[in-house]
Parts: sequence; structure tokens; C-alpha cells
Amino acid sequence: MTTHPAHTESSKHLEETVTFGFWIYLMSDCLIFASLFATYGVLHNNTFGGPSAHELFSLPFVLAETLLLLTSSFTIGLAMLSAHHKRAGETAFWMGVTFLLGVAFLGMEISEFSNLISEGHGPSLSAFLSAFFTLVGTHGLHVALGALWMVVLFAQVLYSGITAFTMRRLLCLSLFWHFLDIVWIFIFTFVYLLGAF
Amino acid sequence: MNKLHFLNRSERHLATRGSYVLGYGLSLLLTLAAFGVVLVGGVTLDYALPILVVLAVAQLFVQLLFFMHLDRRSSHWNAGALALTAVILLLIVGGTLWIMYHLNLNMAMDPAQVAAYMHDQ
Repeated sequence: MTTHPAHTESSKHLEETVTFGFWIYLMSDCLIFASLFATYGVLHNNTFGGPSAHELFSLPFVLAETLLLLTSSFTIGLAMLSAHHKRAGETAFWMGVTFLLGVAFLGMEISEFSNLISEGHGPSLSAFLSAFFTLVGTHGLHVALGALWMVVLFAQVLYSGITAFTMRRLLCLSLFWHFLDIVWIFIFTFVYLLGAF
Repeated sequence: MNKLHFLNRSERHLATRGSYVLGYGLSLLLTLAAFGVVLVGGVTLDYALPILVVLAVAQLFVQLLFFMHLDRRSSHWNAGALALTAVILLLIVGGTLWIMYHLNLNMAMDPAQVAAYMHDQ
């Protein structure tokens, strides 16, 4: 099947417009995280007699979470490379790997949260813990929605292959996933590593 | 179509396996360095803060460059939106911390005073 040149041109233009629009969304999401980081920065010492960051967090645990998310950001890149070569099966495989790494990250985060809450260190204990759960929880919610998006797109890639439609969606999802890893760099630096002092 | 959008990697293979591997390797090194600074210990907060901030910002640029492919071939609109976001972000975070820090200094009450005040209400 040959594609009409004008059609390819307009589909390229649409791809640029859609990814630019998605980029603007990411920038606005970035400002949500900026507000949550600012809130955490103001409240992180307000422990109201409860435990502070260095008494609660385990750095090796956070390092494992970080490696999972960083590796998943790498594997979604490999999925994009496969998609550029129009290899739908390979794309789906790397999306599957990315999904599993993302779910493993979420599993660790949920276990961290449930441990904190079961030990009585829930978000209602102090302003510090409210800010912590809001910031890290908002990021986790993004990862969960990204994982859901990954499942839907995985099915679309298997069903219709790499088309102009699925390619646009893949570009947006990969940008979203890389963006979440970048937000996590600042979470592990400012919340966990600096919290250890 | 001479002007390529940076997010549109399909035409000239702006993204290669090499760029992802390099980005992943550099990110791993920067992450391990950051955790190493704290886990090995012996560094005070005064030294750790600038080191960790530099490592985080370096990793931000590594991932923008090698994972998201924001480079010289990028569209000016994307870079412009990012620059504007960075300015607003610094205003929000820097402004909030600055104002609240000084507010705390001016309103300083120790925990016992706060407790006594709350008790009286």
C-alpha cells in the first residue's frame, strides 16, 4: 500500500501539533508538582512531635524504587525505538517490560505507605506527613494512570500495529513516562536523601 | 519539512539505541553518586545540599537530552514553554520558601508557647 504524500505531510503535522499540546500539558503538570514541592519545603520540619523524615525512610528501599523507575524510563525508550522501526511485537514487548517495572515501583510505594499508616504515621499525624503523602502520592497516582494508559495502548498496538494513531499516542505516553521519572529525581533528592540529615 | 520537531523522532532517527543506553548509563551513575554521598556518610548537610542539587539537575539535563531529545534541533516552542515553566517554577518554589522562612522568623514561638496559646483558646 502506498501512502499519498499529502496525507503523510498532514499526518506529520498532526503528530507535531498533538505532541506540542501534550508538552504544554506536561509543563502545567510540572507546576502542580512545583506547588507540592514548595508546600513540602515549607512543612517538612513541622512534625508536631511526631517522627521526622530521617526516622521514617529507608534509603536502600528508595534506591530500589529509583532503579525500577529509571529502568522503566529506559525500556519505554526501547519501545519507541522499536515503534520507529514499525516492529509492533517488539514495541509491545518493551511496553510490557515497562509496565511490569512501573507496577513493581507502585507495589513498593504502596507497601511503604501502608507500613507508615499501620505504624500510626499516616498523613493526619503532622503537617510534614500530610505534605509527604500528598507529594509522593500525587506522583504515584500519575504512575498508576500511566500504567493504565500503557495497558490500553498495549492492546491497541497489538490490535492495529504501528499506525499514525498509535504512534502519536506512543509518543505522548513515552513523554509522560520520562516526565514522571524526572519528577522522581527531585523526590528522591529533596524528600528522601536530604531528609536523611 | 526541514524544521524537525524535537518530539517527532520518526524521520531522521534522532533517537538511537546509543542515545538511550548513554542516557541510562549516565542517569545510573548520577543516581548511585547521589545515594552514595548520603549512604557512605561523613558529609554534613552544608556540603551535601549543593552536591545533591547539582547531581539532580545534571540528571534532569541528561534525561531531557537523551530520553526526551530536547536539543538544538528542537522546536523553539517546546524549549520556550520549558524555559517559561522553569521561571514560574523557580518563582513558586523560591518565593514560597523565602516568604515562609521569614514569616516563621517574625512569628517565632516555641512549641511550649504554641501549646499554651492553643490551651487558652
